[in-house]
Amino acid sequence: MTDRSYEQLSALLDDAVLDAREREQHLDSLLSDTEAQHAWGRYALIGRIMKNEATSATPVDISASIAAQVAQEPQPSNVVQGRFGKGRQMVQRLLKPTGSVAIAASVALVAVLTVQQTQPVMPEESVEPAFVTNPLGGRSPVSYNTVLESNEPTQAEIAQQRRLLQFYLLDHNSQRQLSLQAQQLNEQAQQQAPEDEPTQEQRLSNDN
Amino acid sequence: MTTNLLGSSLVGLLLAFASPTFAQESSLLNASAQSTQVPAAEQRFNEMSQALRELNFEATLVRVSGDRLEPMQWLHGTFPDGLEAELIVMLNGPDRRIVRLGQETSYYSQLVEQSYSLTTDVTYGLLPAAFYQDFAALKPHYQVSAADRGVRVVGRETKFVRVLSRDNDRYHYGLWIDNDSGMLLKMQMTTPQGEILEQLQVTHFYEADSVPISLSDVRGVQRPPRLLDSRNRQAPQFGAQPQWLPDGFELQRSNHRLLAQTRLPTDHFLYSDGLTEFSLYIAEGDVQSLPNLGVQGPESIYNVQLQGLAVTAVGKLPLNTLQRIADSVVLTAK
Repeated sequence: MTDRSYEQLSALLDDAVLDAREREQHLDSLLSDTEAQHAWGRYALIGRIMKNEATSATPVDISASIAAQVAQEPQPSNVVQGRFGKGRQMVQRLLKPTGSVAIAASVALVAVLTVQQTQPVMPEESVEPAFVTNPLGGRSPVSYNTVLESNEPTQAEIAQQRRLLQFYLLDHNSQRQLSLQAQQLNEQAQQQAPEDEPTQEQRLSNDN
Repeated sequence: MTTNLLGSSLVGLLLAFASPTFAQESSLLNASAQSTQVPAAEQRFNEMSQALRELNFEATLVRVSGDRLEPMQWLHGTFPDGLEAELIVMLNGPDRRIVRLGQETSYYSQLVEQSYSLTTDVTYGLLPAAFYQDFAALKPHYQVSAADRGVRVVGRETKFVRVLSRDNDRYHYGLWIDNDSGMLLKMQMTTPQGEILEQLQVTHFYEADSVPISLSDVRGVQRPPRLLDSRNRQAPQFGAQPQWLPDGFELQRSNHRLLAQTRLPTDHFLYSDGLTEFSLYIAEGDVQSLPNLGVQGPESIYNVQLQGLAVTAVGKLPLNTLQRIADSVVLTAK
């Protein structure tokens, strides 16, 4: 595009092209020229900003670039997609244990995470190599003891298994709390029972 | 006459002299009788449980699990009207707090929907609930032993008490108890072989005469909703049961539900021996798809596929114990 055509575009935008036929010509060239269309968009935006009409909420269209990015990503396994909700929600659930979790649960969670960071150990190997291949380099805080190992699982399967183990630990914790509460309520009921007995006797005597 | 008088006064003197020593002897006898009834180590444990209930204190402590450190603030006191209050504040990471007033314990998280209350008169999450009770409840399956002197902890003289399982199927505890107040100043949880799994270390301890000031406004705080059992609970369905349990473990609760977000149909059994608990989960083997695995830690977990069932045991127990329990599961009825 030449400077002249930019000028024409600007004039068109400002509705400053008086001659009707010339205006149609400019519009035609605008419709056929993508570069001119981009320039039109920029000029319009500049104009809006200068008139203070632009809103920051104007969505920036990045869908095309994201679509391209997604197309390049390796296809995630069905195992992960199937059972758990969408991305962000899932991550939050993993990071933040749900409703009924105590402090102890988070400790357990970490323990499991740390263990899972190490690679599975084949039973015939000694335990030591697992520490060497630990990507974090530190020793695992729990004693690591893989009893048996089936066929080498995929990354997605390991992630899935890790999640399931965490749910077991979290559930165990909330069940302990519920059990503690049940005991307490039980004790309270037993303490109240002797107080209730006299009134029952009274009722009985009244009935008689 | 005079000699008579002298004699009677002498007898009186002797009597007056003798009676206190008499009393002292009898009290000594009583004391020795008591100590034969309750061994010294057990008494120390009971002093600690009493201190945890009755002391007014402000403390800071660190919990260590493996390479993880968790500093916390720990306040406790009893209001003039007899209401017991306890507050535990996590000092690292997201602000989480536990507030207990009498029999209502509330767990506050930064996310309101993750805050909840429990009806319980012990603060779950820091110490085993059994530490708030007399040792008598644990006696059938645990024993206490005491060293004459403990080491210095937080600049204070302590007594050392060990809580050991009688059969080595459970974790052991080492407790350092303050000489003056009976307060627990340090705790270690170890495997029967002596490997340390979890530690608590009080780093600052101040015993107050009355409720710590920081606790005084706790009574007005709004409480989150009560944690409730799910309504659609069912009886266990797979008809599988363990054939071996360590002595003293009793079934606390059992049900069949969908396990949290996994929607995995699961039978659940919770067992307790008074100090520690473990859960047994049973699901269909082809649905659960975990490999056979075992991890030992502050909470151990063991998973095994048996007769088409996936059996998972979780709890504060040595891996060997969980393994033996889970491997003993047999289909008893269908």
